[in-house]
Amino acid sequence: MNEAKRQSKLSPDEQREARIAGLIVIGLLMFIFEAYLPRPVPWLKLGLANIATLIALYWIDWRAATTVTVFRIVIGSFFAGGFLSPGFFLSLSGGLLSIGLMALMHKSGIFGILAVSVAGALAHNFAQLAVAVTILFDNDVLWYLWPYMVLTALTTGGVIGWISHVLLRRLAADFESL
Amino acid sequence: MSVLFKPGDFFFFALLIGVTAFSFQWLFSQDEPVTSAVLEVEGEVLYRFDLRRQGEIAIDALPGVDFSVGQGSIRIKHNTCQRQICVKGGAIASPGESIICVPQKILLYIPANERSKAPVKIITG
Repeated sequence: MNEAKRQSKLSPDEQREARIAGLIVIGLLMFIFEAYLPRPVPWLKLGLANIATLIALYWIDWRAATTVTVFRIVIGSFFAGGFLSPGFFLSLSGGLLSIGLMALMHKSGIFGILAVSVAGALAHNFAQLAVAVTILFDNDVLWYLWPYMVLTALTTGGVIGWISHVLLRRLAADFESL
Repeated sequence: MSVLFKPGDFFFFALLIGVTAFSFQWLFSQDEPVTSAVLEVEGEVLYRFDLRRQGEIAIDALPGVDFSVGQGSIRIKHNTCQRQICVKGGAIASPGESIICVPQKILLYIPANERSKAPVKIITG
C-alpha cells in the first residue's frame, strides 16, 4: 500500500498550504453548485461545502478546517453577492460554531464521522437561528423552525458525513499524511 | 483516519432522537385556531392580516410585495427580490410558521399562544 502512495517534493508546510488551498476551491465549487439547486424553504440546504471542511478537519487539523470554512464563506459571498450582508453573517456564525463543535467532538475521539457531521449541521442551524432570532428579526417565533431543523440536520449531516468518509478513505489510500 | 461509527455515537443519536421527538410533540400541541398573521419589517410590526378573509393584499409601505390570503393561510405571491425564496416557500397556515426574507428583513408569521387580535384595515389590491 505504502509504495503506491504519491511522493511529494513539497515540504510539510507547503503540502499543508496546498491542501488547504485545494479544499477552499472544492468548498467554493460545492457552494456555487448548491446555489443552483432549488431550495423549497430558505433554511433547507444540503451543505455540500461542509465536505471540504470535514476533510480538512480529518485530513489536516482544526485550524485548516477553520481556514477552509472562513475563506469559502468570504470568497463565496463575492461570487454570490452579499459580502457583509445579513446573510453573510448568518453563514459565518453557522460556519464557526459548526467547526468549533466538530473539532471538539473529533478531538474527543469517541464519536464517528457521521455523528461529527450531524453535530456540525445542528450547530450550523442553531447558530443561524440564534442570530436570526436575536439580531436580524428579534422575534422568538422563529424558534418554531427548530424541530424541522433538527430533522434536516440529521439527514443532511448524515449524507455529508458519509460522502466525506468515502473521500477520506480514498485520500488515505493515495496520499501520505502530513 | 475517519471511522463511520464509534461507541459515543449511541448516546449522541439517542439524545438527538429524544430531542427531536420532544420538540415535534411540543410543536404539534399548538393547535389554536389560526385567525391572523403578522408582518414585520426590520423588527417593526407593519401589518396584521386577517386570515378569515380571502383576497390579494398589497401594503403601501412595502412596494413590490403582494400577499395572497385565503382559508386560514397566507403566502407571498409576488416579490421583486432576486432569489424568490419567500415566494417559492408557499403558504403558511399553522401557529409558529413563518416566511422570512433575509435580504429585505421581512418576517411574516402566524403568532402562537395568542388569541386573535383585531386586524387593522385590509387594503385589497
